[in-house]
Amino acid sequence: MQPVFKVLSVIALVGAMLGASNRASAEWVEWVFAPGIDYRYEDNLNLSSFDADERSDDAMDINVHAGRYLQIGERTRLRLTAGFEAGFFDTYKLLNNVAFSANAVVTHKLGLGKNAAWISPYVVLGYREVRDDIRSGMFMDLGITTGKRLTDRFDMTASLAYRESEGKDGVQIVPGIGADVFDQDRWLVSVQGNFLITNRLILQGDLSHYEGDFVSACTKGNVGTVLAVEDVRAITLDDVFSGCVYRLNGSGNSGALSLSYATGRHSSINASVTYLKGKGDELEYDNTVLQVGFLYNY
Amino acid sequence: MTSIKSALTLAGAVVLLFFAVSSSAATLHATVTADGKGQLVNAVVYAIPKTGLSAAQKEAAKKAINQIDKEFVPSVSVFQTGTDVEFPNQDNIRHHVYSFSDAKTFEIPLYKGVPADPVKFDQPGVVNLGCNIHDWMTAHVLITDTPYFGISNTEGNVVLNDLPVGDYNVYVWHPQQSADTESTSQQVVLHENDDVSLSFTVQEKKQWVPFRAPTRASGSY
Repeated sequence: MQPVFKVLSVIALVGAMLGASNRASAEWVEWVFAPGIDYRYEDNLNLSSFDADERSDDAMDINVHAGRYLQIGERTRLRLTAGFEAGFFDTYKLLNNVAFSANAVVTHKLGLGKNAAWISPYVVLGYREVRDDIRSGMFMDLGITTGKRLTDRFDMTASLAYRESEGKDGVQIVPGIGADVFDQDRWLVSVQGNFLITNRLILQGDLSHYEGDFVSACTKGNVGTVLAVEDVRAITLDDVFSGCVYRLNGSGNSGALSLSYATGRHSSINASVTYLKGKGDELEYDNTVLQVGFLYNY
Repeated sequence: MTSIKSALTLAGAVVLLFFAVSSSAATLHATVTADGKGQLVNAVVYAIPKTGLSAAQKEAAKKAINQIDKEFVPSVSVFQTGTDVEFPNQDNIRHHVYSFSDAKTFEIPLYKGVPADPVKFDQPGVVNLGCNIHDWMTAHVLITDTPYFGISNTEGNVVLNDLPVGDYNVYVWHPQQSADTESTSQQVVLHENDDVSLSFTVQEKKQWVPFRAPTRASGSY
């Protein structure tokens, strides 16, 4: 996405949100305080295309969002929050990170009642600081989600998102190929279904497709194959997995199944398994992510 | 002496009048259970005289359904046809009350405090309420022509006091009842000073209402 277009999109979206908040009928309503903690395991954390070079690890993630709702109109509200996230890895501690973000989500109901469809554009702007410094930088999510309850037990959502992140340039190791590995952008489209198993237990299924950049790790032993068969956009040395790391432009799909159990009116336990499969020109990349966590919402 | 006699006569007349009024009233005790699950709370038991209702019996007082901590309180109500119902919002945020029910379709757009005009429930039937801001908020109202009704407590018990003597059809209604009220009705004949007990068993249908809790869902209102 062209930089000018990106900046204009964010400004337009935030401006529309803030402009809407100035309406005479707008009123600040509920506060938001939403902390969460997750245990995560990934079996191919470095997203290697070569089975023997895959590295797994587990991590503890914490996140907190705090802010407030602004009721803009009868069926429209704006959720403004500041977010803090931190990730702590067990083995690959250079991936430990903290992130700060500003989040704005407008939700508009297209009718009256719990079965009315809704539409929700959002923007996230943030900065992530990673111990491995070339991975540190700004990130941005722009997206729109729509959803509707279809029956008493089932509702669906669909999303379109653009994601961009920046890192720092590494050391150039291949002539003619840049070292800005962690400057990435991608488009993501996804659909999600939520099914009530009991009033407290929800089964969620998610299917996503992405087009754009992704990053994979390489070694002395496989970098030659990578450079020969893939259109590598950037490559540099990697302190995390002690080899190299490169960026491709490709596509991928992911599928996830989650269970969410309401432990009370303000909290839930969540468990999920996600399988991702991506592809460059020739090589394929897959990763399985297991996650268990606790969410609270004030 | 004359004044004492007058006072005693008047007192005797008052006592006789008291017993005259009381002696024409009966009491109905009802116990409601859910099939296979024990006592059922929030079941409405109501008695309709077979001979119909007088004009005095049709008068209805103003009632209220509150919003407290983003819930309707009470969640189950019963009102007489023609009742004016207020919806006081006791939260410090606005709510948007609505109903799509045939017996009363209405909408009170975003408001705080007590709306200026109550809503008149002028047709018998069931009215289901919701809040357009907080999708988990629901309440159920039964509107009935008769003034003789009550709602079961946690022991499943209801007491209808001061029922005039006569023949009645007695019904039970619960928001999750799978059968219609006619199929569970009972007939009773009440005489002076009767104290009658009835039992009702309700077949419940499953009500799918997501628990109010955060999820990793990609979005919601």
